[in-house]
Amino acid sequence: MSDPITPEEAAEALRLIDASRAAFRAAVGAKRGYQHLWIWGAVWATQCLYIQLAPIVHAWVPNSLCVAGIIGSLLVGRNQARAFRAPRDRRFFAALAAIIGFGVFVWPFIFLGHHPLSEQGASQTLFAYVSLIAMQCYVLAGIWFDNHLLWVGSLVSVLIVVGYVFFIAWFWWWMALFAGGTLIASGFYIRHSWK
Amino acid sequence: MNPDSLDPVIHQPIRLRIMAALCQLGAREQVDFTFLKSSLGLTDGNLGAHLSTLAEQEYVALEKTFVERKPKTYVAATATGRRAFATHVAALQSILKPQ
Repeated sequence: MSDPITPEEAAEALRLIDASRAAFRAAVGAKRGYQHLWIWGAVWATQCLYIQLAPIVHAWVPNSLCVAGIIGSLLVGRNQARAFRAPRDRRFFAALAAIIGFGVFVWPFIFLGHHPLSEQGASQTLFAYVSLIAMQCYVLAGIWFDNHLLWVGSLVSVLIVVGYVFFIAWFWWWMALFAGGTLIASGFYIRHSWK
Repeated sequence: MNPDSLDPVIHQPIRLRIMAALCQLGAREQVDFTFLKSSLGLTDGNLGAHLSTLAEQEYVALEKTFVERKPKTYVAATATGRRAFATHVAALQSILKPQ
């Protein structure tokens, strides 16, 4: 610049930058993806508590909760897309499709001889299996876009495996508290970290 | 860092605030013009004029599109803009450091 600026002007410019960053982060924080974590944490926790506490478990209840979660996520995503967007990454969606496709439609047939979604006798196994596939998707999204999701996906995956292997008798309580609860808590953390 | 590295285009206070905000986003993220305007408390004309100046320097990229049949403008800091902003901030900090 032709006119050198004084230290006071430099300090004022840096204050302006900090204030602008803080204001923008607060505005962005209200639009970030933590709502998805709240939605799915609440869905998981409610599903697990229902299965644990209901005298008779009707499959349509957890399934309906899952559909409600999908609708909620779509609505939140639509709202976020109005404020922010990133170019669609076809490689990411292809990788996501590979994880879900192989996890749900290929490996169970080859290695287990049956499809886990039709297995009625081991609901804990089914729930843990599908939940781990969902967490693999979080890990993938974390590697691709945002470290927060990598840590959330990894942590919840470990918690699911620990609950399944060591605490199968309390599996539904465990999943409600540590899987659903961790997703909800992670949502609060991400929201806080963006302020 | 040399104080001569200060960028006169970025140093203007409103453009400084715009760049500070945009550089908070991820490298591939774009923000809606209206959201940016309300976040920074600017008017349409004011923000538009300063974004044009930044776009001329290729510090920001503007993309006009339609969402649900309504015109929308998305704004993002370019790699050039991010580098220029980082250099500018470092130059400001160097002025405050004792020689």
